[in-house]
Amino acid sequence: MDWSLVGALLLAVIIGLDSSAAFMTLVGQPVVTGILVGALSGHIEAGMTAGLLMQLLWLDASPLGGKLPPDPGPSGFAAAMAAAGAAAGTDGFAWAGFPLAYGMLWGTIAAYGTMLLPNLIRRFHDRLLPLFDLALEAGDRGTLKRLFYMGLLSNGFYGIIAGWLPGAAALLLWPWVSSIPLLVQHANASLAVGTLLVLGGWGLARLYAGGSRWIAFTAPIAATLLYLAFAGRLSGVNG
Amino acid sequence: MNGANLLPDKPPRKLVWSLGWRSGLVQTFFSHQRMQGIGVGWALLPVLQRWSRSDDEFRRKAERHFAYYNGNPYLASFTLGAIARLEAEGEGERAPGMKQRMMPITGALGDRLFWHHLRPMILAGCTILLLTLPLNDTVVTLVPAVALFLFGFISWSFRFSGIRFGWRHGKDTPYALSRLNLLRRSGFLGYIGAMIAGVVVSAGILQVTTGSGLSIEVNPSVLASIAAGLLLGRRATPVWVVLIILVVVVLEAVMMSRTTVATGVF
Repeated sequence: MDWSLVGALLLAVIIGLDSSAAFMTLVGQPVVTGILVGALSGHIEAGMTAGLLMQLLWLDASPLGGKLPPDPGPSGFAAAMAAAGAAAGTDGFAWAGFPLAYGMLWGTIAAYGTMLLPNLIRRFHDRLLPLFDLALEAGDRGTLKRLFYMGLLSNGFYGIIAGWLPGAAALLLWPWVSSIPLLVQHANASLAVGTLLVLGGWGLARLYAGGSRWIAFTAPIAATLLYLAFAGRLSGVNG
Repeated sequence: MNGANLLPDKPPRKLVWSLGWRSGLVQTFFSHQRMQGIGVGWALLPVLQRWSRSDDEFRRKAERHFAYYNGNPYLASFTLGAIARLEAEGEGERAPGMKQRMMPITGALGDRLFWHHLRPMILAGCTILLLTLPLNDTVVTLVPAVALFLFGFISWSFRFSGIRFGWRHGKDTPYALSRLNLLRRSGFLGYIGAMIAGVVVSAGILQVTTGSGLSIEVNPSVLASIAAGLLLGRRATPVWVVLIILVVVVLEAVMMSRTTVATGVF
């Protein structure tokens, strides 16, 4: 049994809870989760870098005015899991920035998932509530506690589905992706395409998400630059 | 005799602890129908248990607390503290009205303070440090730990002091909270955020152009980010601050490359 995958599963539950329901500290933020996922998989720099980049892209994502922007927590988790997992198998690669592009791509896919899932969970809760309406109106504390624990459970599942599942899918597909000769031979071009996809995804999501102006202006510039800088640095370390 | 006269100004310590940590879980069963209503009801269980003499009374009181509530989760404790006071005074029937009044106040204040300023600011600061400091085990462990501690300290301080504040002011809590003028006082955080944003951009550009990133030493781009924020004063929009930084950093990079060529460092 791969214990790091089990550890990642537990971490995904914690992140799902922290980012949307319980306490809302910074534990569920990509900059922290990236390091934790990297440490779990033994590739701390790749995990941390993916986490940093996802953090910058979604720095101002906050549920204001009824909007549901992408949740940086699970999407950063997926990015870090994919990047750190892929970094383990890049020995024969021309450029080690490739796993980072792979991680960012999966992080962006997961980000879209996090725009849909919270709404589904709320609808699920809406469906549940009428079943307990009578008991709630009677002030039944047992029902209240059951609903509360159910809320914790659904948010834990949210972390698994939104963060761990895309990450695990990325790890599953990595051997196949890394064996595509075209991608391996043209790692730089793949990285450029990865960058475009990430920024394109970011731009589309931004249309729906809104947010504060100073970060909307700064974050993509900084993220692109850091992406290039870190990809170069990883290349220097591993290449 | 009004029960309010018998109540101390400070809430019982046990109540502060139990309401304080429970206030962090008000979003747990979030739904479109009641929003945080179930979470608030669950958080108030210790209050209801304490001031209900029978199970019937508990049920009568509990029913009014499960209804719709939607405020900022970090400041829910102010509402919980005020409701605890109302229940202790035997005026729990006022609680729904109190919630209605507290929702817009805590929403506006908390959104601005936590979502717009504190959280992105601390995370951006953490990003800069991870980018600029030499990466080793200490940095990778210590920087996020400090960020976690800082944000945790501020948010938990608000949560626990919110219980005390709500208890002290009781039914006047919405008015007392508005009088604190926290929205206006937190305006400076926007400038600090803009400066940090500028430094992040500078760090990225320098990392790409020179491969060195920002050093901890005094750097023109860091100075520019601070000066731009301060000089533009109240009219400073963060976009302007960042634009100024961009110009300064690009000029700095061009000058550095010229110096390198002139001295034949390659």
